[in-house]
Amino acid sequence: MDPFQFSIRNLRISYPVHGLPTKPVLDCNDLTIYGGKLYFLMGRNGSGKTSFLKALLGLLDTEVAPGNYLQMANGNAVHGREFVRQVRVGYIPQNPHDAIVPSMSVLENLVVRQQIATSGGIRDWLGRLVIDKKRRGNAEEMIGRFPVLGFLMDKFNHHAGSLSGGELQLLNLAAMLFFRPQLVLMDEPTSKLDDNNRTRFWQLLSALDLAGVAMVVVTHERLTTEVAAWGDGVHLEIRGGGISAVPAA
Amino acid sequence: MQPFILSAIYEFPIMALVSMGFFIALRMLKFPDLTIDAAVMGGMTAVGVAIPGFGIWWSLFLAAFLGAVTGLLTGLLHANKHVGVSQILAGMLVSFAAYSVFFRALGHRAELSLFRYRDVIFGESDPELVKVGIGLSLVVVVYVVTAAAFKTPFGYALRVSGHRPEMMRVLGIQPEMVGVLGLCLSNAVVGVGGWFSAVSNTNIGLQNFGMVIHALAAVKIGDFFQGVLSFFIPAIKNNRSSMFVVMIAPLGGALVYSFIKSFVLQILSGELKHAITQDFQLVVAFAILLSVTIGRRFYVNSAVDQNEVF
Repeated sequence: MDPFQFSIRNLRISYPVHGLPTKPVLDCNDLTIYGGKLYFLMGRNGSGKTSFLKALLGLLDTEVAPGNYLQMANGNAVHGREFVRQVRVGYIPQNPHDAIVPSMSVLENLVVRQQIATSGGIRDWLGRLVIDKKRRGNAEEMIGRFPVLGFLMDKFNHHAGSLSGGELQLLNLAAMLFFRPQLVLMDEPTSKLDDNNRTRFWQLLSALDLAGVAMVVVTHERLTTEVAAWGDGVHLEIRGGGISAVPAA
Repeated sequence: MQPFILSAIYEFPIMALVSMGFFIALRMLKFPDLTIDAAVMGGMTAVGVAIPGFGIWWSLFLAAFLGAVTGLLTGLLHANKHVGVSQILAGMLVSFAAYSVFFRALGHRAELSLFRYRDVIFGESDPELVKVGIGLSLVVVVYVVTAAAFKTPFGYALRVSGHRPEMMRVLGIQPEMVGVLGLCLSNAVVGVGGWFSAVSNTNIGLQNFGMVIHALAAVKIGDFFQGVLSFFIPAIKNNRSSMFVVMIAPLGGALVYSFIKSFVLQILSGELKHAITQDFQLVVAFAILLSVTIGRRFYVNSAVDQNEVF
């Protein structure tokens, strides 16, 4: 199988403002993302980092990001909304709560994305349970491999809303184990965590088997020791409305 | 049996079905759904339209269908990109418009007695027994089916769409469309409640607006009820994420609410009864206020969201 890759071609993000000319935020004419590589995306506040991630997550309307700006390895060009149907995209938001349903249990939050993403056909949607003995066993076995996730073991039945922000972000990351994405997008994933949880987050990320997965991390933390030690990624910077590669510091 | 207990037993299935439907929309889809009145009217109209020609069971299907249609319309008014009205306004508009439609469907009548169809409804059995049997069976079936449905991928898709729509978009699924399906489900349940109301009272009354307030009262009392119950039954406290536990809230609330209502209307007498029945709406409003303010301290229902609209 060919390694996963895609290119961003002619992406133009501009937000329509009533009664005013549209405000261009970001232009990206040619950038290729390869599976198995880590990309750090940096830029000032308001430079368009989150908009860029949203374009890849299919969260932008065609009015904001027109055209088929994502080119797949087979040459097909698609809009972000179609892209997320064809590619398994994992997303870790800045605020851990944004990816967690607080009224569901920890175990449900762990497996639900994978279960929804792999359902197709009416029998699949309605004919089986999301949480059964086998899936619980799998979850215990997978979580058991990572000591840093040990705290989740006793809390499988607790509702996720009872976990702290740091624990929730680790839960989000652990959910990747089940989801097996091809592309992971993280929006300043550790900016709301304390030092201890930040270390645990990067430790866990480096321990996960994410071979072949492309990762884009929006971060201000390229100089911190955890990130620097974690791996040498491609450093991208948004400046002046465009994205360019910059040498690692 | 005490008349007030019997009256509460007749009232309970109506309240339970309506509040379960309302609960699904409010807590699972995070949709403060004011379509409830329209769905109840749809359920009642189905009885009036279908019983003369098709019999009682076809009217039940029609009731669920009409309920689902009201939910569909509300969902589309909200989800459609070009219309895109707020959740509350969408429900209000559908409820408002539904009255005219169902009024026409019933032959330009808002009140219709089904007394002459008693034989079609109850056959030769004891009407009281039939009412209790059908009512409680419906409640059990809907409780088990909905609680089980929320354990399937479809049920989880509904919950994730309601709470974290962006996560669904990232999975390549439109949360708005999933929400529309959820509203069809919740209002179909409410429609069945309307059906049972018409059947058990052998009367259709389209003018009884305000069912949504009663459903809300039942749900809020249910939160309180469930909180109290969890003090005595550890299994409830320890399995608060289980849908079978979560769905106890609307059921328990409906039970308490039905008993309070029957007690007030049947047991009390003299001045007090007169005062309360005259000002029943005021009493309900205070009951909700009380159960919300006191109940907040006892919440264990994991589906309760601190930022809930109501």
